[in-house]
Amino acid sequence: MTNPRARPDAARADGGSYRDPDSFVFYHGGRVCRAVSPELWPALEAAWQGGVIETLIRDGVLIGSELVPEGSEDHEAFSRHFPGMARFVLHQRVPSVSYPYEWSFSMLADAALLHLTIQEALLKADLSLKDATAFNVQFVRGRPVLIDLGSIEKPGRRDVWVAYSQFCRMFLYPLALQLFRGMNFRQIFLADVQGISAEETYKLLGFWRSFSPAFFMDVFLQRQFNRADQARVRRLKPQLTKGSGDPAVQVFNLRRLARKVKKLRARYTCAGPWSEYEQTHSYAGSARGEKEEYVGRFLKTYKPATVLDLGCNTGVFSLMAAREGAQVVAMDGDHDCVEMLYRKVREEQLPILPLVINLTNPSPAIGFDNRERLRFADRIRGETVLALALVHHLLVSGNLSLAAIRDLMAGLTTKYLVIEFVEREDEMFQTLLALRKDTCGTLSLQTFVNVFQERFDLLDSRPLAGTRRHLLTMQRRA
Amino acid sequence: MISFGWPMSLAYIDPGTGGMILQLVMAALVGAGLFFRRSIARVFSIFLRKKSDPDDKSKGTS
Repeated sequence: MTNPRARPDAARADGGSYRDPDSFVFYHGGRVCRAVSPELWPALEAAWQGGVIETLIRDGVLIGSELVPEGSEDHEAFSRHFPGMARFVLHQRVPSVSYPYEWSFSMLADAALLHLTIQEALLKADLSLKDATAFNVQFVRGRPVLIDLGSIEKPGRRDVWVAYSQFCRMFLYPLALQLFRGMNFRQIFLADVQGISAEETYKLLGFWRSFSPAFFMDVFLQRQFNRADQARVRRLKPQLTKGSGDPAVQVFNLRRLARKVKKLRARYTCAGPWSEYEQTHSYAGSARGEKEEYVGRFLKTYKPATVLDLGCNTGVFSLMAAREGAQVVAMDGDHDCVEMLYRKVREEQLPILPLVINLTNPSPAIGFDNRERLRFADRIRGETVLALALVHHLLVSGNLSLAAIRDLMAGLTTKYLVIEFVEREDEMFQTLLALRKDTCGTLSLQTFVNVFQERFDLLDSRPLAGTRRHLLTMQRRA
Repeated sequence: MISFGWPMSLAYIDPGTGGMILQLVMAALVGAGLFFRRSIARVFSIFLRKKSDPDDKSKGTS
């Protein structure tokens, strides 16, 4: 997320951090910083002094944050850039930034539970989250982390959570729609960064499901109350500032929501065509071992700090790279593969970020001015790209040319590429071609190498015994 | 004029409105429930001898 062209002393405001005037993120000398307004500072100061921020950071649920001491060199420099802001915070950097339209089901569910956990902890310290959006969450070692310290505020009433509705739109409704209507929530978040409304959810779930005990309050009643007339809404404001309310009531509501999300998460089962690929695919046993050995040797020799595993499937090679100490982003177009990998990563707390990405249609830049959420290629790159058993899919299903695939790879890697070339006589290649016009007639290892050598140096090439496949290691030319 | 398929009056209403009303209703109901539970506990505590505090217990075992 840093801009390499920025001068080290320049401060650049983050495009996705404009909604809240009381707190925004900026970059300074390669560091992620946050400015806090004089209006917000008293609440944050109370949170810091009460120890709740420290506890949340220690529990790994809030992003690492360090207060810049008043009078320090940094404080003076930041104040010059942003006069009028009260204090500044230095944040820990997230290895790779991802968005909810790239997550799997359990990732969104865990991000929801994270909000409920933090809200309950804050409530004990007489504080509250004013937002509940999935865009405030990032994943580090298989765990969701809240990155928006500026969401913490002094609540008006203690029995009401101001972000409850937003929580439903961003988490509860998308999860319910994916589970009960098979609606991929990717389309919800790409279409609207605010999630999906109670009205739309009601229409998609239908009357009976919305009326059922599980969704009666959160979908049916909420939709009914949304139809309140304007006069009643204006009367609501004094209601919300009157009295302090009993926090036990809100805790009751938060726990009810947590039970609901956990139930949805437990009910999701993986059944995608690729999730069983490990058991069913067509390798000779020894070739499989050879491939793992080849990748293992590469990882040990070149020791890449960051690895992108494209078409990761259930993540065999991502796991190998993580065990060799690399930060891994594992991508697959199949949701259930990513879901299965995420469950494993979460359990073992591995440095792998599993994402649902279709390489022929990666996430665009969206939001205000198309700068609020960055496009995939501006966020995610790796020192090494692993593209194993992928090229034939891009060629045939993706309809990409070899040159387009080469440029895609050159855009994703900063150094190395380990790529598997699949001859068109290969069994899986032929299966892909079965109902399509064969446009790969002239494809051979030599043409493949020739095309790639325009932007890469070939370091190593080796056939996989007993198959029509080859493994190649290349280095991108600067 | 674009109405987004909504009655015009609804276009001015924040999408969080329903959630607020719902929570206020819930606060009244759950709040009443909690109040009664506490009052019942208080009434009982008059008639029944108070059990030892959990705090005292923890002191005893430590």
